[in-house]
Amino acid sequence: MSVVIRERLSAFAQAALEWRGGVVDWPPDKEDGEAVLPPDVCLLLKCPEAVTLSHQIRDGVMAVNLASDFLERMEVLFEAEPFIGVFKIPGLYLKQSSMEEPVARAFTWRNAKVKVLSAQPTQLEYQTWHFFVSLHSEDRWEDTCSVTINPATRVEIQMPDPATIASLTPNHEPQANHLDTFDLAVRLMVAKVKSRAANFIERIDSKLKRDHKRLHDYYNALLEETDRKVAASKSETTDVKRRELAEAVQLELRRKSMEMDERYAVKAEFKPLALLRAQIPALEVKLEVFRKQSRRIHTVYWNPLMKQLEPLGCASCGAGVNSVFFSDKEVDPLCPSCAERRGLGARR
Amino acid sequence: MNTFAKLEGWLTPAGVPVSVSVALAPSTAYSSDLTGFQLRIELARLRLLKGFDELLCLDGLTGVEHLPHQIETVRRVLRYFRGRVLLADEVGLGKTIEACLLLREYLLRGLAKRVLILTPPSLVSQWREELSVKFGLEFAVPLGADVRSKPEYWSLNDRVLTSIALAKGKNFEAITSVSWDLVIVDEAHHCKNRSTMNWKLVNALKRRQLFLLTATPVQNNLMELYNLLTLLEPGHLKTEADFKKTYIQRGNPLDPLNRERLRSLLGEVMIRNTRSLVSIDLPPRYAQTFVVKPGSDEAHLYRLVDDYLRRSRPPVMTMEEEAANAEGMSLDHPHEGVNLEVGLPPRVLGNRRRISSLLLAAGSHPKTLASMLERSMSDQPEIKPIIDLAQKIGRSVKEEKLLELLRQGAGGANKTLIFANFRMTLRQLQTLLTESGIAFSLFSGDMTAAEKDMAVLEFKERVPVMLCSESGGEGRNLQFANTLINFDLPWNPMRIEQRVGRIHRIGQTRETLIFNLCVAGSMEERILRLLNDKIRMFELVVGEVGSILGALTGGEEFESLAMNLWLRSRDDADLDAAFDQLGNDIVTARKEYLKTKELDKALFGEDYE
Repeated sequence: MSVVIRERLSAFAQAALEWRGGVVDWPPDKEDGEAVLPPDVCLLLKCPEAVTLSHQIRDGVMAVNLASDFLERMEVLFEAEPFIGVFKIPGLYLKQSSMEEPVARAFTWRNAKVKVLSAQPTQLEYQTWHFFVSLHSEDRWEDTCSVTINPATRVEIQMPDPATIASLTPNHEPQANHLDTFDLAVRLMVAKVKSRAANFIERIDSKLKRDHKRLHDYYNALLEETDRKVAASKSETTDVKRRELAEAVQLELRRKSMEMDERYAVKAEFKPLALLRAQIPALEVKLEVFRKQSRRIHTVYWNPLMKQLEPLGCASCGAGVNSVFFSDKEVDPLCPSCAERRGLGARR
Repeated sequence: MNTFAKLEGWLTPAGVPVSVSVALAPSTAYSSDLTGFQLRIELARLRLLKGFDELLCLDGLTGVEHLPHQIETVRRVLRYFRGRVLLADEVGLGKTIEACLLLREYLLRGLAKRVLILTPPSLVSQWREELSVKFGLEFAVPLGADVRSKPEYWSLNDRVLTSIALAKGKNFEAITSVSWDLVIVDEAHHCKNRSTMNWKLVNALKRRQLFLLTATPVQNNLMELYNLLTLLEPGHLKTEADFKKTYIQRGNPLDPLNRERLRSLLGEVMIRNTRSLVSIDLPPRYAQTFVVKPGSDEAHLYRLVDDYLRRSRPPVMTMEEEAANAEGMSLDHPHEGVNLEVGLPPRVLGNRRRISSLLLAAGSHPKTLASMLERSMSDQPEIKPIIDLAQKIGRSVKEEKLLELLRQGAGGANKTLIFANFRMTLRQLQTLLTESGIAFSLFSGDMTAAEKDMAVLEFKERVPVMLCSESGGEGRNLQFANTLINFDLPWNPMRIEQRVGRIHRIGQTRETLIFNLCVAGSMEERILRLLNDKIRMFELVVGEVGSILGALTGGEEFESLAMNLWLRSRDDADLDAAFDQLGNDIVTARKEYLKTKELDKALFGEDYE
């Protein structure tokens, strides 16, 4: 292992064990360290109360190493802990002056008139889902990804990771649990992975194409060769032989092709790692939307971390949208693509 | 434990299906513990570090010396070959180690779960031992009977090590009907011919990854290489006719057409490390064998034992019987004092093993023989006089010769390693050296790691001699010694080679001296004569003996072959004649090997890359 990885692993081991109540002495310049662990942790990690930590894999130590089962063992520690973290960011500055101008700057209303009704401070919860994603094929791609959702609008918000905000504090009185953003988070995550792993997918595609071509060329040439040989033999059973050989070659080609397809098929796996629920002060801005004879009130939020208004969510595909169409009757917000599909986009 | 739900997948632009599964969120419990939250994310990011830049297989290995070219090979296979490769390193450069490192890497990364290893019958036990002892990987090794009555064996066991002979027989259908993530074929040149069952078996196996291992991908003509690579990537070298037309020059197999193009294509599916490429050139080694004449008591003892064993010998087993019954069994560790018969199937239990152990013990030391007879046969009245005679013998002739060698300087400025097969022999040698005032350290397989470290340190810094058991010293750096004395000899030449390899290895800067001690008329003398005179074993590089004998014995272990000669012979004259015949066969095999080596060298050169 490289020095950087060793250091990162030992820092993690030390922090994780101390977090669970252990006492760890592992000076950076020492190969081994010592830890004294509480009984419940020993039980989970299946180790004695006093344990030696080492980068080397050997008997009688907890081997802090990528090749050992260290990371798997540590996962057990986290399995026993809540998967959701609830926090708040207090004291963010909220501007309460007229919102007409900011709304006009943030949105383009493509087929409706919109009036700002009010702007009130509120406490809003944002949910940041962290996932471990892997694509297995003939090769492998892995990454961690996160997505933040405003549950009130069910729109993905491109805001800084709340976990990195210095003023993040525990929230001992969280709002009701909102796990109903999970499906949405998965859907958004799939879209993200399609784009992030595009190069990987492209590589798999081109390799499969190349290998299929090679396989087909090979078996077709084989078929032609054997065909020529059989024809040259001028035996009475030429046709039967030809047919039999062609069938055998085709069968083998099919078998190899299937085997190859199986080898290249991609298995995508999404594992949620953690959910961070952060309660943040925000401005709730009420908008009155007039579309033909209909009118409806929609809410948008001014996000103090982004220092701008969040987009509206397309009622059809869920995408955040700032260039907004509205449907005729329900006055639902729609993104340009969905509006065009419904025949709304062409009017402007 | 996560519960997964299947979601609708999608197709890539080329139509590759992507299936999606999502683990459900574990619970709704929450906390406000930011440290725990951040650590949880860091843990996931650490898992990403298991990328291909970091080899995982190297950590936690015991007794494996991995050389730079082996590590580079592992990296190349992971990064560029994606699990389909012909590993064609020159003999002695450690293809097996490379394959095992790769295997471990694939297992650790979860890239493979179901693994099938196919080897010649004679190498099954060696593979099993290496996988277990050095790599900590346990494999199921089927006996013929296991799989005959239980075709589901192949799907029930995720890691199977078996001989290609067993796999291709009646098990062909069963073994090819299940899927394997990784298949490793050792000595893959046995699959060089497309019309053989070996080739057909490997071709029919459902597998994602395939490693073919051979030092001699071409033994007679280039088509053999074509056939091997067709197993890996059908069509890589186009069709047979195309290949012949493009690359084969009629009448001159040593000089292919379009050599550069061929080499470039081979580079995509084959790795061949050569000695010159990896700069492994060791100083010369010199071997001398001392055939000592036994004293009258010792000669009488050998005669009594030989006569007795001949009277009680069992019928010779055929190769198939051996393969079917004894495959994968650990048969040859008498030195570690294990009960040889534990775990062996009934047909193998009995005289054959006992006789070979007793013959080995007789060749080692009279006291070792006595001890073994007492342990296993003391209830038989005719054994008693043999035991009494063996106990009566004081210092054996080999011991005298050993002392002479040590006094002449073998154990002076030169550090000397003395090998013995049996623990009892080691004990006798301890007494001998102590009585003679020669300082030594002891390194034995049953010692703890700390005791072993201490023994090596003592040998390096303070004492001129180290007594060593068979497995002792494996994986240790003992190149500071340059003299080795084989006080007794295993019948398996690979084990002799392993002994020599303890000091004649990378890092050795001086000439290496090897002394072999054996008693006149013993099996060891006959075996040494073959290995010395016919193969010139001690002049060969590591691994070459195996290549020669592998071709000669057709998969049968050499010691088993030697044992069969003893069992078939009526007396010493008969045995000598049989060994002479074997010697002629060995000479032929050696010529064939040299021819193959020349062909490979001509085709790939010494700088193949």
